[in-house]
Amino acid sequence: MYESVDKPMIGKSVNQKKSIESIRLHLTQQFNLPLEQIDMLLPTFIATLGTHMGNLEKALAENNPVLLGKVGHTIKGAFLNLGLPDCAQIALTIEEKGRQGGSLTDFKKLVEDLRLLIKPVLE
Amino acid sequence: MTKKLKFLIVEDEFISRTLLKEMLAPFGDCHTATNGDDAVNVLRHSYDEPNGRYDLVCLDIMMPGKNGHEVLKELRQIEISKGIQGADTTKVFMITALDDAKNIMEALVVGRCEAYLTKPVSRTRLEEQLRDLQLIEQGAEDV
Repeated sequence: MYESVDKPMIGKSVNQKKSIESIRLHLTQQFNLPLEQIDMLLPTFIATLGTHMGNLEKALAENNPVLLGKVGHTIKGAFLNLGLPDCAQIALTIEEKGRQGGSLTDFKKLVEDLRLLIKPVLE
Repeated sequence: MTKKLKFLIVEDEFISRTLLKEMLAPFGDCHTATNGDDAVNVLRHSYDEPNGRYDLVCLDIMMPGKNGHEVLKELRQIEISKGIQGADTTKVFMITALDDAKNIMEALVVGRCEAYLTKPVSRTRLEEQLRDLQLIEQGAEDV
């Protein structure tokens, strides 16, 4: 049964609490892992998302479509696992545009959209 | 009692790798590799020790270095060179994202993988596949 536990949420904003609760629920349902295990893994997963976003920003700053495509692919898998399909869809578009050698304007907009969507989780 | 299995999870992304490891751990020993080249090395050396062969490899397709198809191909070549065939071969699950239909077909037809799983890989689907391949028994939850 899914239960709410306040302990990992101390010091977090309402938006972040909601987003993290939603990820937590997804992990419970999809992977059927014990809540204690999920609560132990979750901070590392959120930190990993932050690292992936950092890699995306770096590839954007370097204007490197190939790298953007590769990071897009990696982060897409992470989003799917965490139950964030809207983010995964944008990551997929970045991946595809990276493969096709998309323009800097395309990527700027996509990364910005992703940044806004993922902000509540990472804030 | 079910035999303790030996798993190799080959996945460059931390969250996917960790979740697979957590789900497979109750059934056996999980080893990990974060790229295709390391995976081939680990697989090659696994035959150096008695009973070192992996029962199952969970293989991501798109990775740095050798990709999943290349790793699968090398694994099958190693097995041929050692005269390993039939039921003694290592089972392989290709793990991929939803939009990889072309890759999945290649893995199934050319690489002779046993199954493909799409991300997010649910525990239900993973255990279903383990049972289908008789790696775990009906109703088995751990060893």
